[in-house]
Amino acid sequence: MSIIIESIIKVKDLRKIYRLGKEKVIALDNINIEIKTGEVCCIFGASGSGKSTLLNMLAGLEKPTKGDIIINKNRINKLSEKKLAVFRQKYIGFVFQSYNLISTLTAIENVALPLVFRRIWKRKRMKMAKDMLKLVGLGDRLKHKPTQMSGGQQQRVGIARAFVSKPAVVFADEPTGNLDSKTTVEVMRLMVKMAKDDNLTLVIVTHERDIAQYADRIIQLKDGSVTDDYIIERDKNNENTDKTEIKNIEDLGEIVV
Amino acid sequence: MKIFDVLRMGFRNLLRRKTRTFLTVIGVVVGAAAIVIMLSLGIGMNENLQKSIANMGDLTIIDIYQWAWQPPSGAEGDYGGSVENDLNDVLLENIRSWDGVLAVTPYLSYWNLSMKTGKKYENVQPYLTGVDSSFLPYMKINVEDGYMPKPGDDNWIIFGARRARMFVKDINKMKPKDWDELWSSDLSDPPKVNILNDKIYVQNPDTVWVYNPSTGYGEEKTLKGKIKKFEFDKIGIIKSELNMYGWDENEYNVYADYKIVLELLKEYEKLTRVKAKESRIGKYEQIRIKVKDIKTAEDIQLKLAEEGLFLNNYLAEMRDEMQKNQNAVQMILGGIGAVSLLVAAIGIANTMFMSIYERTKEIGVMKVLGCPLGGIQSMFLFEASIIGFFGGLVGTALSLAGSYALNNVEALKKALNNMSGGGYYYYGNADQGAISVIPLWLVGLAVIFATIIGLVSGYLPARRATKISALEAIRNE
Repeated sequence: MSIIIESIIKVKDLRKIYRLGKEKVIALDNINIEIKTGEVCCIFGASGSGKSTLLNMLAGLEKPTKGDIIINKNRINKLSEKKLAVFRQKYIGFVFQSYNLISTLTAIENVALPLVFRRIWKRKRMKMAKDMLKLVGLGDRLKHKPTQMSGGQQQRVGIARAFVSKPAVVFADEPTGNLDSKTTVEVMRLMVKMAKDDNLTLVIVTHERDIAQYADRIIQLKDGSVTDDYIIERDKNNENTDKTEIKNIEDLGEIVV
Repeated sequence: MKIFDVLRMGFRNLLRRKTRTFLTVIGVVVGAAAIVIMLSLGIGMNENLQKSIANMGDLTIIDIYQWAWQPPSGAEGDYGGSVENDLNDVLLENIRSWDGVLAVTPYLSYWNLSMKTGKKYENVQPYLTGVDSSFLPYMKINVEDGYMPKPGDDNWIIFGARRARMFVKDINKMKPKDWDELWSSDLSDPPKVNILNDKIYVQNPDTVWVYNPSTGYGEEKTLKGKIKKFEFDKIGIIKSELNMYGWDENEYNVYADYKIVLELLKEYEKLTRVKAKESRIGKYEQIRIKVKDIKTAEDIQLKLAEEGLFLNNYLAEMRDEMQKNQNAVQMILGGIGAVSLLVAAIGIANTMFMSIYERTKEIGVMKVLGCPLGGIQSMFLFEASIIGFFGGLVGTALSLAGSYALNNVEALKKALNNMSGGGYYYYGNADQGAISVIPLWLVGLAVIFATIIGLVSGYLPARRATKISALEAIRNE
């Protein structure tokens, strides 16, 4: 039996041009990507490659100059600011490089924040947030303020916040950029595990090659264009996989499970 | 976002910067207190003014005089002047039939008379004012002793407090001491001559002074023929009451039924052969109208003017003038308060803007997490209005205390009265009320107004907050 897995993210002919005075800077050009539901995808590139710009546009934070971005059947480049807010609320989770926890809120309140926007009652959202924090191993830090936690702990709160509403897609922008290597491993494993457990799509932007190895797929950007696009096949029996096989994306039409 | 969550987050944000919030609230406190105190002064002044106006005279009584002052029309060469109103019985009855007229009386005075008691005590230089007894209740005339005339009575006569004490045995034998006593006797002492158990006789005297138009002088004339003696047995003495100027208007007056006064006048004119042209018969000096209420008074005045009558409406004009001045003062006071509240409003806006600059990143993060624009806007609006609300609340409480101090601390009262040039006492000895009056509606209004000021001040910052780009969240400094 075969199931056709829908592409949750479709990017068509995307182009982004910044104007710096009279000069035009082409940040992204001719980007065509499809990312499938449940995929852990890494957008990999050096600084200035346009990877952050791509992420911003995927999350609806910036408008493309040309082309379409369709997430979960929403053509987000056409959405108004108001509708974008609702869209993000429903479908998007976000993990920031600098965690971006609200400093006045405790860990549990931070995690519950997206649920506040979703108009979920306090008792229910607190329970959801608590469960989420337990899941990321911070069951004993519920009432801590961000300043009372280490970077790794803060990022785990950030991850809990991104996943708490079970969004269709979670974007992570250099999620380990501010962490040491040991914590990086913990955080990455946690994030990938959570995405896999709920079959959520995870898009990670990074410039660190080590991070890329956690992904199912690596999209490499250089100077605003996709230079490489890999699927990484894993040995499903081995948790600590390394790259076993790399196939070119063109070889894959539909993933047949 | 649920409203409850908006409130919760708003409060939390305010408490985050306690000092700044506190100082901003203080600004509103000062502004709200200033405006409430200023308005309370205005209201206090207005109340005193209304009291003064009420003391000045009854605005539901309209007077028409035979000789009215016609103000200059504004045309060149017109300096105004006296104009005559024809106040006759036809007019009187006409007015009596109008809607809203409760009573109407003519005034007819007569001074060519002798007035004696049954025991031959004679009144010194008497004169009579003839009115309709049905009007007496509206004239603030209270009979202290004796008979209070009722409508329909005819042979009634009532004396002013001093006039009732001006009966003497023989005018020609009076010494200076007696004269002094006549004018200055204590009105609270009982009269030396009791007139209440007696009768009063009024008549034209045997000899009268008559104006001779050919010489231009008055000359003594002996009246020939039978002179009628009018007998009064319903006698009253008017209670001495001081008006706002501090004196008793009726002190020297004698009132009697105008029909009797008219008869005296007719007899006099007949005996002295007054020409028809110079006759006073059928020409009243004044007509007084009592109407239902002030609104009716205005209508009746218009109607009278339509009848071709000239009115001297000093009281209403004066009242309007005073009210106008009062309104101006109130506007100035309110304006002073409004300026301080405006400063407070700017303070709120400033605080909110600062707060937004500080929270730019946070707002960006909230946007990325899917916070609806309305949620961000209402959060900031709520913060601003809560500053306004608390400021208004404390400010109003403060002004209540201040108002109490103004009304009860003598030194403050004096200072304020000097400042206003004694303007709180408009006329005479009218009871002075409170300097500062804060009605309940002002308390409510001030708090609501301060809240609205907060809301309005917060509007621009709140709009600004919604326009912050979600990209701010990504920016790493």
